[in-house]
Amino acid sequence: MHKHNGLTWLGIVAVCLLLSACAGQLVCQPEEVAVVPVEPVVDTQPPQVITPPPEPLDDDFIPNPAGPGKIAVVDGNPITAQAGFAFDDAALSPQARAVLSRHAQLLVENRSQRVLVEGHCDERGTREYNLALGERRAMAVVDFFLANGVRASQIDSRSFGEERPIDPGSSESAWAKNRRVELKYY
Amino acid sequence: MKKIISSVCLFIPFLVQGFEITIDQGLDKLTRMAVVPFQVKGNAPDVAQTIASDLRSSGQFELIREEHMLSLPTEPKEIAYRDWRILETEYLVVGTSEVGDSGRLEVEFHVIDVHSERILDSAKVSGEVQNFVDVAHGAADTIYELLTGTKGIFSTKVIYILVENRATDYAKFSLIKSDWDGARETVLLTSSQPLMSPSWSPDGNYITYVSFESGNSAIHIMDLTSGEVEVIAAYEGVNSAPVYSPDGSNLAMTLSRSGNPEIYTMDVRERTLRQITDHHAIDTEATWSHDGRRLLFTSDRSGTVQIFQVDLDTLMTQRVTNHGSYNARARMLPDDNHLVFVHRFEGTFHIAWQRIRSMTGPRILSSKVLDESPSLSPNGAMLLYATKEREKGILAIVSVDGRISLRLPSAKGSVQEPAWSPFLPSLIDVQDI
Repeated sequence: MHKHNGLTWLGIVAVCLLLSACAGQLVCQPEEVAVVPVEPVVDTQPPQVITPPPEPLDDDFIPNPAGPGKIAVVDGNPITAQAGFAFDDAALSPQARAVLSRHAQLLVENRSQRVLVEGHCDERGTREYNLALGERRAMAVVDFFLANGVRASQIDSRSFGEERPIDPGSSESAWAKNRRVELKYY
Repeated sequence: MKKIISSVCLFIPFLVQGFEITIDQGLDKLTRMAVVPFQVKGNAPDVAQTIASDLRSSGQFELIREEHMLSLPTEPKEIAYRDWRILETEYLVVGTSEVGDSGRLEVEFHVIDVHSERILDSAKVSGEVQNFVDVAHGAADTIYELLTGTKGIFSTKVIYILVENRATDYAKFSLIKSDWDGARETVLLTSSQPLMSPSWSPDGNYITYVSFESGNSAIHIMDLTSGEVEVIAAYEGVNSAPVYSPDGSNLAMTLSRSGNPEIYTMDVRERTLRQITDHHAIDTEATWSHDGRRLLFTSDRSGTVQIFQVDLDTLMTQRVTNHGSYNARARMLPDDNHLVFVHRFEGTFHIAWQRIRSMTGPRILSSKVLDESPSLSPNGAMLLYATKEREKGILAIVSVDGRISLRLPSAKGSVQEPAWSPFLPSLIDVQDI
């Protein structure tokens, strides 16, 4: 398991909330919403990062400097549900809410802790539309945090649209992995 | 004028390679023609092959191969017309290539109608010897326009994004400029963070694009002559989809600085913003009408993703597309009455064409599954777009009438978001003789 040094007390918590996207479909069947199980978030033991990043291929090329956070990716059996984050209504699934509640609680208890909320999409639909859609997903999480007592000053949010997939494939399972919100603590 | 130079790019030219152009579909009846190898005097470069290759890749001509030619005339009086009638040749191009006294490359050629045995046109194209590819493309443009009545696009350029190591922590994004056929490429910018939405200024001197180099999306302008880059929009939230107005004075863009993505226009000199849309839905992907008075944009305000138009004087907004639940990222045709856009049909995404506010619905032009980012050729006849083939991004071209389609995979990797240049200032001289 990949171990990080020099981290805050919380270490790096990473979570992917896989959100149904319908790739921008508006009139769509409710889709699967997968929530990646994360390690229990407790303040004495930082959660573990699930997948260690591969070694860079090219020494001259600086790896993604998006921050100290490493992202947990899908592993094991994601919980699925027929509810969701329908396209135009940024409602989070009950599973996503359950995971986010634990993160909100930690952020409330530790006011100096900051979190970056990143919204991502799958490759279907146009790129610039997906950039806006990713922002809408990130904002749904931000709004949830604010409603649960996290201060605005603790939160930053970004959208990367479909530009930073975690699975480069064009299959349903790749798309499901790529529709997500990532939380990066810093 | 506030000028913030955030970086200066060094343009690094790659070796000439180009895309591997494959004609998937040409016209049902191709016009048979021959570009006979030119008489090359001294050490002048040969341009006839490039001319033939340009004409072939238009999808409108069948070029007779040299090994099938019965004679190789280099001037009209040498032509044995019977040799070409046997081969059912409609048009013939013969010529010479030489370096003149001035040190410039001079290519003289004649276009001949075999049926009437008449010279349709004689022209001399000249340029610097090192620009021999431009001379060849210029000659091909002249011949194409003579035979079809439409201005040729062989001298135009494209910009696009190359992505390497996608979906890894060391993904690499490059903004690349090349000839329309992918040859003579120049890397304008490389980043470990995503690059998006490149597009040209109408004079071809600047490009605008979105980069995440700062950690968030930001809109940049690059001066192609000096390599200077300026950040022009880096507000909180999304900064995306910049497109120059037809007169180059303004950029339309999407900003979510208000908390929600809205369309704005920015005066390029003054850097002042005007908010065009104000709706809690997603509004993005603006594009200009050619008269500069309207914008088309994508919005989900009606419950599905559709294209709308807004009058820039009155801000009156109308829905433009009515068929299907996903119509996005429009570009207007030069008549300002038709548009091309991304249309979802049975779960797959295609480039489609329709009249503004048409009741009859779109005509699908492209046949792949994840087609996106259509960009119109400056002559209005062809569309360059991005699609996916075996999990790799490639570029493709389809004619606006749907009759011709080409694929342009890059040997370098996954390519996306192509933007076709306007007609650019010529490096060559063309004169009738």
